[in-house]
Amino acid sequence: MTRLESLIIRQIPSLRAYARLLVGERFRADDLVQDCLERAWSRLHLFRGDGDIRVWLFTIMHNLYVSDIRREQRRPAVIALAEHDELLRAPPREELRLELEYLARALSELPEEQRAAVLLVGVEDMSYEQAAAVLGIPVGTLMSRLYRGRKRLRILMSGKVEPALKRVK
Amino acid sequence: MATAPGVTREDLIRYADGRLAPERRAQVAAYLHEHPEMAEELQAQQRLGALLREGYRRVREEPVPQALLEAAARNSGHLSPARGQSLRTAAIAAATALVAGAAGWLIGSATVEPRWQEFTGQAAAAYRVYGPERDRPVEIAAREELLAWLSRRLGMPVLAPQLDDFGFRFVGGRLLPTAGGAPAAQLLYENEAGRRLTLYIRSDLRNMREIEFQLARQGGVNVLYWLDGPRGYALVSDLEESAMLPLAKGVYDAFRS
Repeated sequence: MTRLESLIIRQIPSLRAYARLLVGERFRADDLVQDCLERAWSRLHLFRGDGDIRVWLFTIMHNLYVSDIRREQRRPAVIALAEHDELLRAPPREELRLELEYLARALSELPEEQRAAVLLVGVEDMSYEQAAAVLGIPVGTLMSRLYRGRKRLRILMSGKVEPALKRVK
Repeated sequence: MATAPGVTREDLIRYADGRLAPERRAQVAAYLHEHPEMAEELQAQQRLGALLREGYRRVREEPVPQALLEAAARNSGHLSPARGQSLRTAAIAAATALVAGAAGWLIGSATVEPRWQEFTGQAAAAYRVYGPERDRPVEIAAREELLAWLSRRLGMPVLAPQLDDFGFRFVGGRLLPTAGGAPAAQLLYENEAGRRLTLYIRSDLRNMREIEFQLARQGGVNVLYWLDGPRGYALVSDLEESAMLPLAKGVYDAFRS
């Protein structure tokens, strides 16, 4: 296996997790990842050797996602964050599971573009520049979507789980 | 959104993300002190951010479905060797040299061997608890006193390797309990941008096969760990793994010399 292949394979868990939070349903998310991997492989000759493979892959996936929702006009399903608890070593507290369900619902109510910004920076831990590159927008626009998205998410969540949330900190 | 002269929306975002330079951070903190409603908003957003990471972590730690791995393998024929060569930058070559021979973790990085889960899990948990702590990240900051104490408790020479070349400054450390009752040491480093890195050490890992660098992603952070005799080391941070490998090499060399 070459290094480039290894680098791509190593990104699969991140791509899956991001896709799940972005589109909701597990199988649709994995389909998106698979499409992304196939497109990446068929276009590997277009990857600049000194580029950032992660940004490149996420950009491909984002573009596929955008054309997918444009074509089908689909609303994202409620995102199932708490769905695979059986895989966890320690079962989560019931309240944490509830918080995650609320959050998943709130996330799916965010406008598309804000959700992507919040996720790329917040969970993928991309730099603002990297996230802006993935979304194909200026950094200033990214910052603004990030700000509005986080605030909106907070408003959607306020009142629902605030007391329990404090313990998650 | 109204902000005081000087403090912009971008500053506030960077502040909430811990991505502000220290001097600017102080200015924004002063601004937030004057604007408690904004401080509260940012705190609420940070709590949601932590929750979001928890949800993300759960998906990320699932085993990768076989179908995806097969899709990856099926497609790898498209790759000509020359393309791989072009990526051979110095950093990546260095990183790969370190993990050569540990091919399994590339695919298996989402799952940690069961007997290592306690070690990496505790290292990651300690990072998540103390890493973001602004006011009191360490118990003791005095280098000599701390290291003498930790060495005594762990029964091994505990040192704080110099990571200045990588931009990381030693801040201090603490003693931590483990499930088995043996003590663990945590050393904390910070760079100019306020990013944190911890070195977690235990000296009681007998009857474990010696391992070279392994990477685990746990709780949204990267844990790079290795075993040397009964001594287990884990470097934990939210840095990219490619940035952590040279740091791990530095720590490894320091303890070996």
